[in-house]
Amino acid sequence: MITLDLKKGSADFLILSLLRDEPRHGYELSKLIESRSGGVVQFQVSSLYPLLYRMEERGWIKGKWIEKAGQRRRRYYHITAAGREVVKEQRESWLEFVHAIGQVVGPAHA
Amino acid sequence: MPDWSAEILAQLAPLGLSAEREFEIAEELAQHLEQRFAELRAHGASDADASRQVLDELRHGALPDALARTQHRAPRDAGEPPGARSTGSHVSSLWRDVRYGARSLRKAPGFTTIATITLALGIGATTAMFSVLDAVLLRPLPFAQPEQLVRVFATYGSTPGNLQSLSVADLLALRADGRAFSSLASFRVPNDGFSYVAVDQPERVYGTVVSAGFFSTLGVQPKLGRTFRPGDDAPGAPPLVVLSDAFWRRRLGSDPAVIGKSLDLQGRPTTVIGVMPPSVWYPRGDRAELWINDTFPQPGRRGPFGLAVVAREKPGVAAAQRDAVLAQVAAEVRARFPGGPDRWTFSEQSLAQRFSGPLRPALLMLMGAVVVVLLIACVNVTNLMLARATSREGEIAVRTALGASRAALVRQLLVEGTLLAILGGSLGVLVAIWGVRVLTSVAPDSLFVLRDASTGVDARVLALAALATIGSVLLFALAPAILGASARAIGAVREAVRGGTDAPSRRRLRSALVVAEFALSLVLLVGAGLLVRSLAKLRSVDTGVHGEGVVTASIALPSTRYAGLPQIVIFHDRLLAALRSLPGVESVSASVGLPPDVFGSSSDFFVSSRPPADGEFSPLADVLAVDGDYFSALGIPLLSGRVFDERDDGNAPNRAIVSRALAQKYFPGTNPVGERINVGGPGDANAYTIVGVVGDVRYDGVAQAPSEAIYFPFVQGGMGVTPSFSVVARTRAGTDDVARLVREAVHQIDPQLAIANVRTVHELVEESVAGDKFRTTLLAVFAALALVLAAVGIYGVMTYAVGRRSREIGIRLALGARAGAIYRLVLGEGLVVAGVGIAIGLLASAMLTRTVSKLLFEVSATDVATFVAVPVLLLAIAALACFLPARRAARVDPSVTMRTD
Repeated sequence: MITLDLKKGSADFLILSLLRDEPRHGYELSKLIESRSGGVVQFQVSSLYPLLYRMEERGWIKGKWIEKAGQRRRRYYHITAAGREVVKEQRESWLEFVHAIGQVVGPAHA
Repeated sequence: MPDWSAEILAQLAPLGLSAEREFEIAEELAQHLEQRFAELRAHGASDADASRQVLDELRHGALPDALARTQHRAPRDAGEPPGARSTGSHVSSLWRDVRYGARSLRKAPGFTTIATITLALGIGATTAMFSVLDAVLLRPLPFAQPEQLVRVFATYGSTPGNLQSLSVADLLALRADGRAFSSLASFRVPNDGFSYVAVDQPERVYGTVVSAGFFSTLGVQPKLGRTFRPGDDAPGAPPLVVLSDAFWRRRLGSDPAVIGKSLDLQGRPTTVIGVMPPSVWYPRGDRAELWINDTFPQPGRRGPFGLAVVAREKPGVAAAQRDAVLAQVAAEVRARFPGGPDRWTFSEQSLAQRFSGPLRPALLMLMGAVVVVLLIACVNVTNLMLARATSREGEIAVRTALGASRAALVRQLLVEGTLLAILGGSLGVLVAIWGVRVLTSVAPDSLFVLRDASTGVDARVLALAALATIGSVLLFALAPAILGASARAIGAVREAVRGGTDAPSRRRLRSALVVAEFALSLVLLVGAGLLVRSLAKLRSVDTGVHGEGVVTASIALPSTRYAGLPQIVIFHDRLLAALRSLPGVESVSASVGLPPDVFGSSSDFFVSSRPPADGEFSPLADVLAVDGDYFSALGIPLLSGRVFDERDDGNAPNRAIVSRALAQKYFPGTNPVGERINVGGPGDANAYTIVGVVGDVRYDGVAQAPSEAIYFPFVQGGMGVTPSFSVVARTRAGTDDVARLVREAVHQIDPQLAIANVRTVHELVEESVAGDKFRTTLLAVFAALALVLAAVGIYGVMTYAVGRRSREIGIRLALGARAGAIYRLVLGEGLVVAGVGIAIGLLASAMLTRTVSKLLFEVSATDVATFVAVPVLLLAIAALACFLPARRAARVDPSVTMRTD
């Protein structure tokens, strides 16, 4: 089943995917998304943080103030178990989507 | 570089987030913006361009709207129902205020707990207490036109307080006259109640023997059947009974056809003629199971006495006129029955005064205590709210600066105050309900009015107490808006947030409030201390007997089967013989009186060789008929002569034993043994030879002087013999076992007899001081409450002061101050406040304790021990309450506190 709210879903998906390996803070996330998408996807502060807070409310990620030697404290987000479930599901539905698109555009290659 | 935080906070302001959450978001976003700014600068943008770009990005996406969609909540609130989402309507913004208020109360658990407890105790305890006082002091008696009702007494000599019971002759004369009273009636409450046989097991029930006009004088109607009619108290009238609602329900299962049925009371078939509603309990709520008709044969002499008389004043008859009539009637009685004392008349006292009179000083004192505790509770709440207001100044100032409207702030603060009020108020109602229940169940018999089913939480009082305390909450909930938020510009915000020092005027106000708390608590504690010492003295009074191991029980012999002295004496002999044979029983006796407050009756007497001159009034003595080994059973020492023995039987000449107090007063310097006294009248028939002098015993209550007592041998059947009496058994065995054995012995002799009041002498003493114990406990509880509230008050203020001054203390410590100096600083400040309060309280106490002096027994109203111990206790509590914040202050880490901004 493919969610219709693709754009929003994909933003969540992007962030969750980036947090799968290690906790990151907001600025780092925005930079990573920008660079990995080759500048196609850009998050500005006014849209990124509301998104993060909403994901936090849903229990997919968790923010935590972390202080490192010689630095100001920063808020790092890490993925929760529920978040990992969501990534898995979205990954499946994404692949399904890609597969479906492939079916639609497939005949051109046939 | 612009101040990103201020810009972000401005964007967040409309969301009404908590201050903490606002600052958290601002911090996180500001870091992001800073990095973004640095990045743009690194790519070659100018300062101004970079700033503009960053601010554009911040403003571009409508951050507030986006955040609003994240439900306006701190992450921890995730999981609330979606219905809670804000949509901007009034209802939802109120809901948001409620949630925000609840959250900020949760975030200050210490404040919330203390404020709630203060409110609950302030509202609950004072309401419970006042409801009880109201029932006793203020509520009108449940009779028709109660202001017309009086009790009538005989007053001998010129002592105004000397109110004696009336005789049958007195009653009949007053009733026949009819000029002073529109109606009058007599009643008497037998100590031992009545035996009631429902099936075959005799039970003891308690009630009143009344003349025919009893209920009509009070103006109360039965709920079933009728009350007594004129003629129901004529000689030979059949025994009739009016039942109380409680008796009818509990023992007769609310039988609707009970009228006309017959009950076995005192061994006689007695016809039920009526049932009273629950509101009728007169004359004693603890003895209000039933009312039986008294019968009055035409008197041949003025006595016997023992009738209580209640009368309804005739409207329109002036007091002076009534007094004249009463004096006339008294003169008529004297003329009809010459030979008695002649300097007496009738006097009256209003029923209402009769009821609350003796209790008034104690209840007024307790009422004062209620007011004081309520005041302290209000002061405490005020103080807490003020302290909180000051600590929230920063938050409020930031929100104001960020554009929160004053109305919104006020609404938010009001909502928060209301939440607190609802929390404390509902707990207070529970405390009040529970308190009334506890108070009415532990109240001594003298406060039996309380047992009246209608004693409940008084709604008006509850409203008043709630209004006072909750009013304080709401008024001072608004303090931050009034004090701080009015017109502060952003520039002032920084100062407020940083937490500089407190405004001196407000600090002084809070200190003054704590001073007031300590002064008020001290007054209460001194009062309680005096009563506690008085109670201790009362309990340690020597009643004149050695009560260890002595069991007593009361028995009333019904006149149907024990018509005269011979039957009664036979019963005594059989019972005492049975008791003597019990294992462990050392000596046994039967007596009509017992210490500390049961005596059979009193009678006038004179030394036979010195009869009173004409017009001289003979003194009164307690007269007790005793059987068996009364003096050894109770451990009353024989001082001279001998105790009664088998020589003093029915055929022997009249003999008596007198107490030491009587001997010393009327036979000063001589041994009265062998002397004769006349008791109850002149002539040889009333003369008794004194065979012994025994130690003094208190029969009039522990607080009274030892009685002047005259003892008679029961078998001689003279003075003081009654069919109801107490058995006394001194035992080496356990008193519980003996109590059971006494019951069995009585049952074997007469299975129809009920036995009541099985007590040890120690229990009798405890019961007689129950009233003192009750009021002492109440005042002590209130004083303790005041103490706790005062301690909480000073603790709160000092903790708060230390918190505000942590920077200053940090600097002091950093500059080398030792912890000791910090302790001195904090403790000193707290103790000065407490000390001033204590000093004021001492002055107030010295003035006020005179009002409790009536309640004190052998303790001066300015008792030095109390006036020293209480201030010391209070200072110690204050020191403890200041010690905790002082320790916190001394442990301040200078590097942390100085970095907090």
